[in-house]
Amino acid sequence: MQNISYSIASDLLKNKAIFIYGSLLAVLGWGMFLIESQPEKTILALLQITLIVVPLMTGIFATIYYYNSAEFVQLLLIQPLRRSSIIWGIFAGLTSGFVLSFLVGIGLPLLLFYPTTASIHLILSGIFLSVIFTGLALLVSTHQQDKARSIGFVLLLWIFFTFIFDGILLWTMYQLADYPIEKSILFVTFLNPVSVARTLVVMQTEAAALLGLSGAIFQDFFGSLKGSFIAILALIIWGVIPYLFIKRKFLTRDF
Amino acid sequence: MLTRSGMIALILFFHCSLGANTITVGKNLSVKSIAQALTLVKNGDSILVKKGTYHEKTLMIKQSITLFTKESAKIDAQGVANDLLVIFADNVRIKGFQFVNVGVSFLKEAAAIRLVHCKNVIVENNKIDSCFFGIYIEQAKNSIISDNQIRGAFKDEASAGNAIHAWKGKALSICNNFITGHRDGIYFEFVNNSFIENNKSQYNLRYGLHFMFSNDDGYENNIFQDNGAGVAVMFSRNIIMRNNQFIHNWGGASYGLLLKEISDGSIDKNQFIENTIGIMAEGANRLTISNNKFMLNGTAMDIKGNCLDNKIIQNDFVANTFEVVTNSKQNNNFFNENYWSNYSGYDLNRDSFGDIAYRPVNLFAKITNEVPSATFLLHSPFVRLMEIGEKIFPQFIPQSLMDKRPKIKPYADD
Repeated sequence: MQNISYSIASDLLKNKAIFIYGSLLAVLGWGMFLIESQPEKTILALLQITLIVVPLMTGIFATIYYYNSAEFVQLLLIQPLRRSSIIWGIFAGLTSGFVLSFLVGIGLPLLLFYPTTASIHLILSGIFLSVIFTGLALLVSTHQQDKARSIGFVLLLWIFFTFIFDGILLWTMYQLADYPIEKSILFVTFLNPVSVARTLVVMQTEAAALLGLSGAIFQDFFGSLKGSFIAILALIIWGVIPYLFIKRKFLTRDF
Repeated sequence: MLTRSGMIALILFFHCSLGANTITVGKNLSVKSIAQALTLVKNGDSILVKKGTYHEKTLMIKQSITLFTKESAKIDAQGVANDLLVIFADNVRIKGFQFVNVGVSFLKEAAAIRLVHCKNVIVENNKIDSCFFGIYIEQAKNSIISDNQIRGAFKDEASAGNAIHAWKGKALSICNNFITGHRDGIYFEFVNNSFIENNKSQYNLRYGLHFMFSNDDGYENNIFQDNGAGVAVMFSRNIIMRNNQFIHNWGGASYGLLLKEISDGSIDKNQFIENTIGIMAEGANRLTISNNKFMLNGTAMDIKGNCLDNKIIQNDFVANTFEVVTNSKQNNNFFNENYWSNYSGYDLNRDSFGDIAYRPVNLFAKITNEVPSATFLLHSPFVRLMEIGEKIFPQFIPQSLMDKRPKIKPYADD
């Protein structure tokens, strides 16, 4: 089992695409700190990168990788190996490759130039987003024979979670502006891993703009240790549930 | 308005011209208490108080005297809620004492030092600790309050007093004081032609400095830090605010400077750093806000729709989450030649001003103003997308609220 994930991870690290992804993050992560004199602003820029680039790249790469390694997977399936250990190997190998690129590209400069709780939360968010979107990509890929359709679907998921979800949320807020909806919004947020990741970091950086009654409610929740804990728990669930579906499909699938 | 040194010279001249005795008060001397000494003085005399703690009831000064100590004698009210020292006479000078433990009362405003109907009084170099009110000025003229340290340890606003409280006054000079832990650091009500300079007011429960119905005053070179709600200037005219620092006034209902129903003043060369809201303006008219620096505030300026004809020129706005917020579609104020760190235009003709006008009101700021719960979407990629769209095709933010000549580099770097 470890062998499969190890070989996939090492194969991924030799992959040109993952190298480009890693170097893109590194250029952004290290470069931002070198040109921007205010680390408070840099961390916000890196937050945007983490929220937009990480889900997109991991999702697309994981999908492409899964289809490109279809023959390798079939080869593995012939061997006397358990299917559950094969799919775990693929999942773990892919995520460790992405997480490693993220840590080197964004995590390391954050820890070196701006070691604060906000940075640590951003790194955690980045790691979780890598895992979650790899999971979502594999979920789509295992349920879909056609590579192009899978990529399209993963792109749609990405657009939905990064942009459309917040758009719908904002529209709802306008419709229900007269009601005390803050608590319900808190729960709705957990339906979107990107929102949870964003909130986790924002609450650590800029309390100022979030003050006022609504802000205070969010601040009370996410600013506290309990809030951070629940948010991280939500992200873990977002990582685990797609994997369970992937596994179920992979075990019963006819190759 | 008399300058401070001019006032001192005048008062000193007055003191010297009378020719005077000095009565010394000490535990081992024939005059053992200040109250006793006060019965012996006539106009122009001095009372020198030796080292020690003096438990006094209310001391009434009815002659023009100098009451001073060189060894920071302590006058203790022992928690009784009565004034410790009341000055009824003109030309009085109080110097070097420690006043402690004036009790809290909900019926009267007991203070360590009270000035009543007097002029040319100097209160300097005193330390006032744990007193309900520090220095209470009631109808005084031409007086100086300087180099005092006033410390309170209040926990809640309702039972706290102000450190320097002036009710009706003219030509007062409040300078070089250090104030902390009271309700309002300095409170002015019906005080005209007065000047507040070089004070540091911090960790007060309400405002660092509070103006009500006071006209033609100025404050310069003060530091207001970590107060409940910064500085409030309300219902006043012609206030000059220059070179002050408003730092880290942070909290749910907090701001650096609150302007409410004020007109014809100027706000010049101040620094607003890390406040929830830098300047909050409601009904502020004909003010000139220039050469200030707004840095790392949640909102740099919240300027409501009822503010008219203000000029906001040549300020630096650096790294604020929101630069300008308003609740109106109209704009009746004039923004020009400010530096905005979020500006991304260019300067082809190299005159150091950007060629494209800048709209500092951010769409998201407007949204949160209408739907407060939308604060939750701060830094959401979707909000970013909307802002870019709004910048290209402005629809929602006030069209006329724009800076036609945004500066390319901060003034601080020139």
